[in-house]
Amino acid sequence: MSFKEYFNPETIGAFSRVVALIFLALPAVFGISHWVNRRLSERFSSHQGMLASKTILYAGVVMIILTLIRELGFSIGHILGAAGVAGVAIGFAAQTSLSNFISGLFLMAEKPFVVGDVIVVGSASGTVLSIDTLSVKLRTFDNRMVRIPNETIIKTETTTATRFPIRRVDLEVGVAYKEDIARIRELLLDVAHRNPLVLEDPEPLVHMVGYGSSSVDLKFVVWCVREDWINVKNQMYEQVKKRFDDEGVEIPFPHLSLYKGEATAPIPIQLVEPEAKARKPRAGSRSKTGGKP
Amino acid sequence: MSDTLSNPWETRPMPGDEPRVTTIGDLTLRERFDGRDFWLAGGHDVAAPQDKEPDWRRWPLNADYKSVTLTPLFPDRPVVVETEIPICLTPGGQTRIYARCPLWVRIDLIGGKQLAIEEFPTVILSNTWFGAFTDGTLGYWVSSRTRTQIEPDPSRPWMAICPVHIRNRSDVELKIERICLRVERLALFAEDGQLWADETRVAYRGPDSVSRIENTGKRPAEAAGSRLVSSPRVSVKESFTARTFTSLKALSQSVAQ
Repeated sequence: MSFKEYFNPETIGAFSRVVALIFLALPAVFGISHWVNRRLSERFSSHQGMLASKTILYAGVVMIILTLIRELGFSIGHILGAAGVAGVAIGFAAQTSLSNFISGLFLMAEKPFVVGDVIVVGSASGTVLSIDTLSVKLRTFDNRMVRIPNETIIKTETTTATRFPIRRVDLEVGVAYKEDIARIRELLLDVAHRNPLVLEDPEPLVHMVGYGSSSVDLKFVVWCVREDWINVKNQMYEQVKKRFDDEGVEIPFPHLSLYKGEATAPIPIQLVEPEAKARKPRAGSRSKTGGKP
Repeated sequence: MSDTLSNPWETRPMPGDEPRVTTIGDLTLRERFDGRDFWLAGGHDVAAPQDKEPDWRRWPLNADYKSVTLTPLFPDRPVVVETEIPICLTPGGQTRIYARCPLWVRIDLIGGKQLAIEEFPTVILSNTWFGAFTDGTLGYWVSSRTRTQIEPDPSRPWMAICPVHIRNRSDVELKIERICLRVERLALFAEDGQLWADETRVAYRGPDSVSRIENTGKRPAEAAGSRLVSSPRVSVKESFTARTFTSLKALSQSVAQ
């Protein structure tokens, strides 16, 4: 077939349709996908927006490719047949990618988390930016991006920190053995009641955990809405410390006694004078450096 | 210039360059107008030193405003209140209880048009949760308890009385220890210095069903001569259903595990 014979009205029409598909339909699919993502994210949730937009994008691109193949004069049946044979070879070569792809479908169906959730996967934690075909992308709290393959998430224990609307804040508090535990409990509960971010119900609780090496160990639990969790944790530690200081409650730290190595009494320690007083020159003493008097 | 107004819900002239201080409940409100900008600061820290500079916010005014109005509003979220003693309602039984709820204040500038610029709570209320761990309602905790009889208290104009009529339409006894009032759906009426909410009617339909709630939108029977002061934040045309009572401290009991 000569060049002139190939470019007959029929092939020119097909060529025009191919160009139109590439330069009009493809951008249109991307545009519609982006628009759907934005509108659904505003109206429903980011996760639903992302799912709908990806469905539209993938379906649209596949349809355009199939149409292109047909317009170019290839038989789709033959191509699909060849693809079946090639698929086996590609499948072996792209086992990991296929596994991630299938895992991605499971993730979308099971929905253990959605876009915007805070999750912990292994050592990585952060906010879910997107759930893609092969991986989930997280923004860590120090503003880095972590890409976790979907297969890893399916295989690994994943914690969704923001699934439920309220969260518990666990605080470990140690007080000296001399302290009255009932009074400490009252003080802690009062600190919780004075903080408006701490929920009144479920009510705050104080439990005695055990006898530590240098303190009576208590567990102080309060509840807050998930958005306030980090604030409440910080505020409660600060407020407990301040209240204990105000009330004269001792927060002990490990004590260390020094011995000489034999079964004897501890090494005697003598308290010295305060620094300022100690530095005050005594009458009749001489400066070692011989400075001016 | 400091005011602890017996009735703060009145229109007042624009303040001068010197701050005008108004105390409503725990809220200390400072306003000033320098002829061009309106300045406003609200604070609840009674222990703050007198010489501490307030957290001013400034509104450049493009129109001519003549006066300032403080409008009472219900909180922006439901409130949860405990009953004085647990109430046991037999099937078919009904009761009427009253809850006092601290209000918010909205600051409006009045001129050719009305400009709402800010809202403050008159009392800082603690958060609380009403419902299950996985699904519920965030609300404010009101420490005053519901009563079966109540007297108006004009000395605390920032507290509104909410009448609640409860009817047990189920076949089982209803034990009420806490009640969740959807106050953002209530209007406010004033009579003799006391603010009243429109009546809330709750029909309990059993432990497996949510209660049917109806806000009448009309002045309550206890304040028949009252006038409307502010409309609900959320307008409700029909009754709705929501969980309203708790009788077991299920949440609190399971938190330690």
